[in-house]
Amino acid sequence: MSRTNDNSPDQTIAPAAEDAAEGTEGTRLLVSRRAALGCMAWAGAGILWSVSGGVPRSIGLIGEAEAATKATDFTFVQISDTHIGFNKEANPDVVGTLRRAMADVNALKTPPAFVLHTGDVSHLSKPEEFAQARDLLQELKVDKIHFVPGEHDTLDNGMEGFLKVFAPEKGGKGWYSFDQNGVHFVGLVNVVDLQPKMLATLGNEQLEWLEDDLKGVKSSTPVVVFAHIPLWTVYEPWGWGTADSAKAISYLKRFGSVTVLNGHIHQVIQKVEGHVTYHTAMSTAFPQPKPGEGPAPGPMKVPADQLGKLLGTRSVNVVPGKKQLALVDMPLDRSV
Amino acid sequence: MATILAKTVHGCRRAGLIGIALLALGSASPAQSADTTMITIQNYAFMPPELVVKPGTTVTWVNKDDSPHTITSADRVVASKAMDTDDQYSFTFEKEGDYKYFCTLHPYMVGLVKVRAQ
Repeated sequence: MSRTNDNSPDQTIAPAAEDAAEGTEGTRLLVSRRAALGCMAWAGAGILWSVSGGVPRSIGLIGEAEAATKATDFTFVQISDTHIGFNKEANPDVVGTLRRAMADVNALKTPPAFVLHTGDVSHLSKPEEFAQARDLLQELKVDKIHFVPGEHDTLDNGMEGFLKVFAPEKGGKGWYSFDQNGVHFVGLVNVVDLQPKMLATLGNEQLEWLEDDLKGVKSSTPVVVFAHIPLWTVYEPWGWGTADSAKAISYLKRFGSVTVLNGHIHQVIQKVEGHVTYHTAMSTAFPQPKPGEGPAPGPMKVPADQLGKLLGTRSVNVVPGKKQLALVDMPLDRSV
Repeated sequence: MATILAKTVHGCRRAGLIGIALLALGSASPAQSADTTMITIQNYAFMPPELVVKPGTTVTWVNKDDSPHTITSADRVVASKAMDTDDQYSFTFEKEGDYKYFCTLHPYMVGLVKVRAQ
């Protein structure tokens, strides 16, 4: 099993035996939510995770980390799976929970440079849902939100309704890249042309675009890739994976720091593979069961006092010159 | 509670045949008869997963999950709009053949309608 040369003990994130599962050769699947919640209960506040040499490590509490942030650092936020239009028992008020999440983002001491939304903006791809989401998200005090669609955004008319409201500046089919503060960001689409009994795909056209897009980027530039469905196989029976992601990852192998940010599964699961770290995110709308724990990946009803612990957002701090990005998962309910 | 097949919500066409009144005892009973034209989506599965009908039959799906689903064939000839809870979708199968379909939100949900003259 290969990790990095970092042999220091990982007491704070070592998952219990039942949490860790062997992934493919050379990788380790970390079910970090349980460990993170355990740490938060101990610390009484949000945990700051630093990705050191590709391995997530806890380095302290949010307040300390924010104080340590230098002027040249920059922070961005990942928000995911807002599902505007959902109104069933698992959460009858997705607007309310989104507002709480946005309040947390707006309260960050270091204002984020922008927000990435990793898809399922709407619940049923209805024009009024896209419009309501767009209007609500304007309450975020950021210059820009970059979107990629989820499969709940491409119902009925494919990308058309989503792109009318959330198209990237340069236009195109929904995938794009941009550079900010020395980091190369790539937004990918893996929620169109779905086929029966198959995982989602990126498709050859997008893969060719990706290979070409990365050609001009130095290997020392940190790369952040964001897409809705996980770019590694979290759990195939529920469609939690992307069939042709291996090709995309092969284009990213030469880079010293690659961070993959996904949504779709409404919980945080992370994986490390060499210089590539993968992180799925919480939803702001409703939780979903852990892989295989239940008949289907649908909305999971929990007691009312538990809901806020399972929904939230994430801030990501980038320190120039450092491979590691510091990820902070922020549940709506962080016990004090 | 009797559920009677009446009309489609999506408003394209009326049901060609009257469905059998189902006595719902908490879940739809699987329909095996050739007269039956209703398929229930429940617990992320199509009930029945395979249905045999005669040409010209209209099949109606109803979604009983709290998650939306779609009824979609790989060639997109059968293509419902997004179906929320209690929404219905109907398709009239004119020609004999095997019609596989799936849910685009949950692609591992698959079903089959077999259209046979005899």
